[in-house]
Order: sequence, then C-alpha cells, then structure tokens
Amino acid sequence: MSSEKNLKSTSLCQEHLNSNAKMVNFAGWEMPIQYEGILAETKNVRSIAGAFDVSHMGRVKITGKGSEIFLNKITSFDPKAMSDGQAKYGLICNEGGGIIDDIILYRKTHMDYLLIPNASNTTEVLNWIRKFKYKEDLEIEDITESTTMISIQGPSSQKALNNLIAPETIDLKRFRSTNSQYQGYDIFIGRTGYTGENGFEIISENIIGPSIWKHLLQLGVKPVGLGARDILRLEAGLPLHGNEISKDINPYQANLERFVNLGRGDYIANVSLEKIIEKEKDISLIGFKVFDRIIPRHHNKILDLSNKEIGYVTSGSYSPHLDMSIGMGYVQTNESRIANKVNLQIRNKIVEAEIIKLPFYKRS
Amino acid sequence: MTPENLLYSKEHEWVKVTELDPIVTIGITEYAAENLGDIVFIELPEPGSNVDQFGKLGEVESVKAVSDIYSPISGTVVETNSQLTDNPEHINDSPYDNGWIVKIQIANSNELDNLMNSKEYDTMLTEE
Repeated sequence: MSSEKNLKSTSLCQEHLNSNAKMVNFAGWEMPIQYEGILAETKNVRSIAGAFDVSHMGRVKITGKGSEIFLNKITSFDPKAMSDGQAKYGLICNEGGGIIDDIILYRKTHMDYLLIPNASNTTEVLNWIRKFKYKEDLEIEDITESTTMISIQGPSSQKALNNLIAPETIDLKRFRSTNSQYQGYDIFIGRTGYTGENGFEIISENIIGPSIWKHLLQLGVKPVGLGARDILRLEAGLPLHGNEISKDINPYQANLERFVNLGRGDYIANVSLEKIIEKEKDISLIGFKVFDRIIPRHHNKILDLSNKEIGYVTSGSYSPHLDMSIGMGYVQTNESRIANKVNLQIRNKIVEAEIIKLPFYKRS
Repeated sequence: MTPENLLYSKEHEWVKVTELDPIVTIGITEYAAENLGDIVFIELPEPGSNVDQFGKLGEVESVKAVSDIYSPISGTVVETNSQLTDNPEHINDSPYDNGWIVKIQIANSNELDNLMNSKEYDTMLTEE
C-alpha cells in the first residue's frame, strides 16, 4: 500500500484512499494530510464531528505489580493517585527536566496502564523508559502496530459514539475510559482529545478498525486529516511535540506546570525541576494574533517594537475561528504579558502581532 | 478541465490573451490551486510595477505552505484583483474566473511563444 519504501501504514490506509485523501509521510507513517480540504475539515469538527486516524500515535502497555513504582519514576504526576479508569495528561522529562514527550496515561488498574506517546517519539520514549525498568516486576509491550486508534471529535461525537456501539450506551466523564464491544470484539474507549472539542478515542484490534471507521462515516462523521488537526490543536492552545515542546524546554517555560507534581523522591526529574521552579523563568510560551492573514511559521523571529529579537515562533496558522493568523512561540518572560505588542519577522516582512491569552478557541 | 482559450507556463500560471489588446489577465491553474490547498493570503505586486517573464510576481500562502507565483510574461502591472485580499479562496473556488490575480500590459508579445497551449499543458501534467 505504501508508495514510499519502509513507510508504515495503519489499518485504515485503504479507507483514506477511498475517501480521496492526500497521503503524506508523517513520522514514518503514511497518513492523510487532508480529504476535502483543511478548512472544510476544521469546520466539520467545530460544527458536527470529525473522525481522525490517530493509529500512528504510540500505544504502550505497562502491566505487572511494579507498574506504579515504575511509572512514578518517569511521569510528571503520581500514577498511584489515579483511580481505575482515569486518564491523565502529563509529561515525560529527562533528568535535567527537559521534555522528552507529552503523553496520555490511562489507568485500567494499578497493575495495568496504557501509555500514549507521540508518533514521532514512540521509539525514543520506549528507549528512555526501558532504562528505568530494572528492579520492578513489569512488562512493557508496544501494541501500536497491532491496534487501531480512532479519535472522534466535535459537538456530535457523543451521539455518534452512542450510535456506533448501540444498543450499548456509555456515559463517560472527561479523562475517563471504559471497555466496550464492537461486533463481538473488545474495544477501549477514552474521553480525551486534541482539538478543544468534546470527543473520544477508540482503540481496537486492527481487524475491526476499518469497520468502525466506515460505520462512523455512515453516521455522518467526516474524515479529518493531519492538516486540520494542527489548526484545531493550535486554536485550542495545545502544545505539539517538536514545536512547543522539546528536550530544550522545561514544563515551566511551556506553562505546563499544572501537569507536574513534585515532592516525589523517586521521580527522576524531581531534583532538576525543583531547582528550575525556584529560579525565574527566562522564556515563556505565548499565544499571539497577527493583524494580517500572512501566516507566521515555525522558527520565524519574534521582535520587540524596536525590532530587537526577543523570541521565536513555534507554530502558526490561519485560524478559521478568529479569521486571522495566530501562532504560539517563546519570548523573554519580561515581554510575555497579555496585550503586549510585538513584531514578527516573516520572510522579509515585519508584521505586527499582539500577545493574547491562550486558548484561542474555547467551546461554548 | 483545462480551458482551451488560455496559455500556460511550466510554473502553472495561465494567461488570457485577447486579440489586439495589449493587456492580459493572469492567474494560477486549477492544478496549482488544488496542490496548494486552502489559500488564505496573497501578496500582489503594486500596480505600475514591472515584471519579467518567469520572474517573481507575488506570493500565495495556503494553510500548508507559502509559494511564489511567477509572471508568465514581461510587462507592467495595470490592475490587481482586489477581491482576493478579503476572499483569497476565490483562487481555489474559481481559478480561471473570479480567482484571476493580475492584469499586465505586455512588453513583448513574442514571449507568448514561450508558453504552452492547453493540450501541451495537460500533457505536462500527466508527465509530472
């Protein structure tokens, strides 16, 4: 199926091609960048519901008696404080406090967790966490390639999910998960997302993935590609690994401190992060709107009004919600206040922008 | 369908020539518009500015990327499509009509020989 050599494809590849998707190489996976068009797909998610193939993201099972102790060492929060069925967003940091990845961790029981790292990062995360598995009694199993993960996002996503699994119904709170069935196969459903909308993730065996996908499309859920996904997450003010977060960035600079619990002696980044938190932040993540439709891109410079460099753009796009260009980036903390006016250097042009509060979009 | 009454450049611009009129209309082809994806911004040259054949005319920015557009002909820009400032999506919706980009007074009509007719352009596309 893959047009390029050695590209991995998900169980839904043929479905994407049937929907006239444009396929691209994304982190070694052949993935749909768009179907009918990025802006139309963005609108579908905000107004109805969209289905995303997110099977390229990692799915790593961590099971066994030692799971809690192990996860307590590597995640930015305490897995012991989670309840069964809970999902939590957090970070995996290195010993210096730099962010290796952001993750969702699902707790099924205290001996059964599912870790969701980013696609581009699954191998690195696996290599990293395996370093800390020495004494504990646990298994780490990468089930990414044997399973399919579909995300349904948008105001009609609950209705679509109910129709999908009818006559069963589920009533999940945000960041909760449950087991269910589809056509006799076990599926796992979590209520999280990356769009700013209400939504769900469905994880199934590959064999049943295409049936679920086709069924969702029959129910009126529209397929959405990676292009729209990037606009949706940017409007929702959510960081993207490789753009807003990297090993050179710590959780405080990225304004992610609410996802970090310190005071845990076993946590491998505990010492560094406690030191970092005491110091003043040098740079801070900001959101800005541009008084123009020209799009700032990753690595464009952010300047003060006298055109002195004060930071850089990490993400930028056109926002259909605001009908103007928006972006995120890092600036010196003393320049990061809301309503501060800055200039952006976009190619050979200087364009005015204003720092605004994140997120750009909040569902009503 | 590629309109038969236009001429085309390798960079996927089209030129509409009306006989005896030194002013031609220029846009980008449906193929180019589709490949760019949703266009959200266009930077146009100032009327009165001179452009060279195959030289840079402006920029179109889509959600995905920014691309240069080149002038298929040398001459002087006499008018730009002001509709595109607020509605750049016309280039996607109507690349050969409402999505026209500039009108240029041509300097040397011999340069039209460097362009393709619709058949030649279609052949080039099938070879891409």
